[in-house]
Amino acid sequence: MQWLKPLRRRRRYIEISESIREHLEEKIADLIDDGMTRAEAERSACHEFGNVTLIEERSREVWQWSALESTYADLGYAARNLRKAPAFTIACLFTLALGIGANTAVFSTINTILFHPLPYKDPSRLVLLSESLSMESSNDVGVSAQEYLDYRSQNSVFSETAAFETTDFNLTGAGEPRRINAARISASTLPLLEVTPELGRNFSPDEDRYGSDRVVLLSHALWQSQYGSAPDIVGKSIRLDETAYTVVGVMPASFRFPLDGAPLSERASIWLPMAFAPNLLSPDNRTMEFGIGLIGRLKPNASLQQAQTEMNQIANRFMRQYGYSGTIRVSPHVYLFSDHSVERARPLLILLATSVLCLLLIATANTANLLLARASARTQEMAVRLAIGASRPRLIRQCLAESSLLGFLGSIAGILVAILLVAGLKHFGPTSLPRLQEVAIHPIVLLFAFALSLMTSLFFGFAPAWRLSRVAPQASLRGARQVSSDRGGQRLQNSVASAEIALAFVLLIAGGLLLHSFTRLLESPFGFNPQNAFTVRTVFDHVRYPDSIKRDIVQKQLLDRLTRLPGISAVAEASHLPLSDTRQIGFRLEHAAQDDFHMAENSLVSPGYFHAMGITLIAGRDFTLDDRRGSTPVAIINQALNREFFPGQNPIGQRFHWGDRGTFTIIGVAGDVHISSLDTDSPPMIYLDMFQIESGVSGKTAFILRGKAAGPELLPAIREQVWSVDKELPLYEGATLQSLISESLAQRSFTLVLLGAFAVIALLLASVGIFGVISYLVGQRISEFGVRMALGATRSQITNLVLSRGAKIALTGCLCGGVLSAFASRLLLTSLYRTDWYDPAMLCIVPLLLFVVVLLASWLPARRAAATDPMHALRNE
Amino acid sequence: MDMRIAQDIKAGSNDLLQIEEGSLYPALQRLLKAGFLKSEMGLSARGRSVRVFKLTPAGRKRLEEERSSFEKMFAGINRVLTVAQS
Repeated sequence: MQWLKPLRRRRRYIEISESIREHLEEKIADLIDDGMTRAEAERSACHEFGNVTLIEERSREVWQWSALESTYADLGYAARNLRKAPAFTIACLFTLALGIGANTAVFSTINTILFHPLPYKDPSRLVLLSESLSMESSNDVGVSAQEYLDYRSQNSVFSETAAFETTDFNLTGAGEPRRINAARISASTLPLLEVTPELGRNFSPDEDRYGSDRVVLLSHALWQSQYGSAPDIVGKSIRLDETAYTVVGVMPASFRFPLDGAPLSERASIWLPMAFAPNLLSPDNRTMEFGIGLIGRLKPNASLQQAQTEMNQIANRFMRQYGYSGTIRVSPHVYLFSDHSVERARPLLILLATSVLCLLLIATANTANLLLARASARTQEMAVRLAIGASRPRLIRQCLAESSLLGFLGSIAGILVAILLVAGLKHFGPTSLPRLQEVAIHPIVLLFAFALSLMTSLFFGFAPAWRLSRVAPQASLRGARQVSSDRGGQRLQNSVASAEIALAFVLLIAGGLLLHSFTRLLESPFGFNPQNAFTVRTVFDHVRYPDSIKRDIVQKQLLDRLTRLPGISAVAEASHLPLSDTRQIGFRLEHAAQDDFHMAENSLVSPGYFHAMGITLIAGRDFTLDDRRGSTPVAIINQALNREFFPGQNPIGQRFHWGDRGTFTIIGVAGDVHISSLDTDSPPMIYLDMFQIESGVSGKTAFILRGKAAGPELLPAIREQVWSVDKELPLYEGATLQSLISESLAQRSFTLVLLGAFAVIALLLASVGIFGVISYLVGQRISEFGVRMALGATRSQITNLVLSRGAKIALTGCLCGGVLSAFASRLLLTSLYRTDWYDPAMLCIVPLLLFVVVLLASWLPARRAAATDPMHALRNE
Repeated sequence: MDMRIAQDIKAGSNDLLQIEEGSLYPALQRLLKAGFLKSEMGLSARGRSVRVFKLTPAGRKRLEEERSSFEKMFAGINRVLTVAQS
């Protein structure tokens, strides 16, 4: 009959009360018999008996599972108390929810992006090797095929090495023609990663040889979407760039090598054998092509440092042996593979983590201040309870029950906020953040949030609880304000409030600097006109168009048809577009030393490209239809290349060599355009005529259409025109030039919005905190104000008195904030574009803003203080 | 009906042992819970109907145990003190 227990217990409690009452009555009757009056007898009986309430409670406790049940009772009492003070409760929960929610969301993101283990065996032993050329602009070019073989055969630190390279193909013969991303991987890759196909098998080493490499592994996603998860896909043949390949297996869905951190659209859909082409392996072509990634698994006893040292030795050996000289010298770098995939996101995440921690500190300080203020408001209540027999540990326990209940509710609210924030983050976050779509609130982070919230409230609940349990009952009951004895508490509250202001100061400065840098970025010229321009890509692959002359004819025909679309004024083509893809070529100026190579960005463009893009031609002429295959090779350079290589000279007519493709004459200089991102300066660039030059990227092309009608709506019309010429041409990545700019700015605007939001929340929380402290102060000193006014102080003097307290807090806060932000802004430096961390305007605006907010927050309590009725206050005294 | 208990302790010890009457209550509740006592309605010396506490057989046994162990301890202490005196 376990469920009857509470009922039986209730009866037991009644019995206890009754037997005590019987006891007292009997005693009183005895004493009256002894000759006392009734009143005397009652007093004497109670005196001899002791504290009735306390004894009843002790007797009841015998029947309780004491700890558990009194905790339960305390929590119930705490809940009732919180409900009775809705303003305090809401302020506290709001603060905790924001602080904890924002932290849970940001740390979940960081946990997923930075600390998510790669789906390979022992990923911390996997390293990536990449070389940089001694020219500073060419970092991480990968390695060349022969260098890979040297590193592979000569090292002693890796148990296995593998090579990979990303590429892409036209997939035809299964629905609409599609452009798909692919990776070439050596046969050793899967054993190295310790991954096996979920269907079929890995490439054999024999298939990793040029000529016998027509085999392919499919991604789980491609197998699902394109082949309906057909179980008999292994052994079937698919068409890539008009060539048949045999499917040997399907990889599991978790396999994303080599771009583990890349967004969905960039991940490989198929993997093919590396199978180095024979010309790459001929000794003359040792440094012809880099771009191969080398991945190695460290032996159990080898360290990253050892690997780096050994790679340096190997590189020095082959550079000596093959006579690397001048600008072609390489230096190898060894990274952890897992670091490499998230490298670009790291500064952003660290910035977010720091600012969200600031927010958490503010929220914590706010909760502490609210609890302190509430404690002082309850001094009298506690005094009464002490006077009627409550023990001090009991009171402390009750206060802690209240703050931990707050903490618990706060963390629930915080988790709800976090869920909302994560959903928002996935929706609005930049796609350049790797693994953003997989961000989930991890149990560990959840536990962290709970612990954080409970610790915050317990820690900050304990101080007021301790103080409360030590109030002197008589003093409080008499109504005397303990102004003097409470100085310490006030100083604590003031410094907590100042700290909040200081942190809000730091966040506001950071937000301001980012905003400043963002506007700088938008104001800096793009170099091209992003308005009214639409681009779409296609590929004329070599198998389908083996003859370049024929391809030229089709391309020109297409350009002609597209120009005639209504609302289109100019159409051109380019192999590479600014802010979307890049390619570099090595060149040597005429008459320069044999080993004096330099790198430049390169794009193959059609005549009219500069007009269609809105790039100014500063000097010389554009390509024309007269620049054809066989005529003198010509090139247009940009201003950056002109500045660097022809200072004070006329570049027109100068010549340079590009590998074995010939000597090019410069015919024009074009304006600078941002290539990789808006915040990097334009690198030197060489434009070549796509109808004159054949290269590895010929056939890969983007159409640029300019005109009123240019936009995504035009895509069906474009498709109709393109497919009327060739039905097998895939059209992909349709985008306006404007969207290229906003994509390039996505990470920045995201950081800006997030940090701005943090700063605003911080300001809000800090103002709530100040309001709490000043209100508390006014409550404490209300009778003092009454006395002052009775002695002749005016209302405005009282108002000023209160406001000056607020101002003092703001001043201290701003001073500390100024010092803190001097350190904190250095963290921002990498995210700033042409903005100094020391920004005088910002250092004026932010303190001013904080002062206004603080004064506003102190205004309401100050008015209450000034409205004190002196008579009323004095009567209470 | 523990008013008498307190008085009996006081009287039985020749006023040597005095206890605050109220402090008996938690102790009585503990004995009740352990099953050494039972409570039932009875009559007080003044003829009122009140709750009275009675020892259960288990309680009586425990009392015997406690008393003998107390006597042993007391005898021990007594012997030690006698030796120390001589």
